[in-house]
Amino acid sequence: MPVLDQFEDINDTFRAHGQVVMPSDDSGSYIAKTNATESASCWPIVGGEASEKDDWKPSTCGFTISLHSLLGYNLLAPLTVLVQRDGSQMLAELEEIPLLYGIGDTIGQALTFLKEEVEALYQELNEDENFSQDYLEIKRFLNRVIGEA
Amino acid sequence: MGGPQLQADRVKEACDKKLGIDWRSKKHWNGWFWYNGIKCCRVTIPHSRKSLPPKTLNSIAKQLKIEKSELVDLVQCSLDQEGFIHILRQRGHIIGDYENKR
Repeated sequence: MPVLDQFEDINDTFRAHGQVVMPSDDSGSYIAKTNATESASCWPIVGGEASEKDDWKPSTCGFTISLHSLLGYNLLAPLTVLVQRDGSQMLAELEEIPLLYGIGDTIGQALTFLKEEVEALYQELNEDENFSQDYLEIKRFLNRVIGEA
Repeated sequence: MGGPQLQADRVKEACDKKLGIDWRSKKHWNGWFWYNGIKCCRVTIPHSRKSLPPKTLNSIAKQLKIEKSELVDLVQCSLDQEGFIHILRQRGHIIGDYENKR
C-alpha cells in the first residue's frame, strides 16, 4: 500500500482524537497538530508537544512515534514506537524492546497499553535477578532510560 | 485475509495449561514462563473477545520465542510443553535439563 494511502487511513484515527496529521514544511516528515484545548488530555504521548515535527516519521508499514514519557515515569531518553494497523485494531511496538507491544481500537489506546507494558516490565525486572540473559539486558536498558516520575 | 483465527482466551488457556505460565497482572493477562528457577519468557495477552489480529499473534509468538505457526500448534494441541522447551533449547534460548521448580 502506498505510504500516502496508509497515511490517510491512519489519519482517520488521529481525527477521532481531535488531531490532524499533515506534511511538514520539509517533505520527509509529518506534523501532528492538536486542537489547542485538547492537546494535554487527548494526546499527551507525543513528545509533550504535538507540533514537534521530528517526532513523526512516515514508514513503509506505519508510523514511528517518539515517546518522551510513560504514564507514571519520566524517560531520560526517548523510546521509538512503530504504530501499524493490525486487522481492525492498531498495534504499537517498541523498537528498542521488540518483545513489548500494545493494541487498541485507536492509536491512543495502543500507546497507553504499550506504556503500561513498559512500566509493568520495568517493575517486574526490578523485583529480583532471576531472569534469562536477554531480560537482564532489557533490565539494564530500562534502568538507564527510566527516571522517577 | 486467511491466516489462523485464535481467540485471546484460547491462547491464554494454552499458555496456562501447557506452559504453566505464572500470571501477574489483571488489566491484561501478563505472565512469565519459568525454566529451572529463571523467568525466560514474558507473555502478554489482551483481554478481548475478538480474534487476535495477525500481527498481534506474531508479537505473542515473539514473546514466547517461537514462530507464529508454533503458537498455533500450541493452541491447537499438537505442541506440548516438552515440545516447546525443545524448540527453545534448540534455538539457544534455554540451556540445561528442565526441573519443575520456581
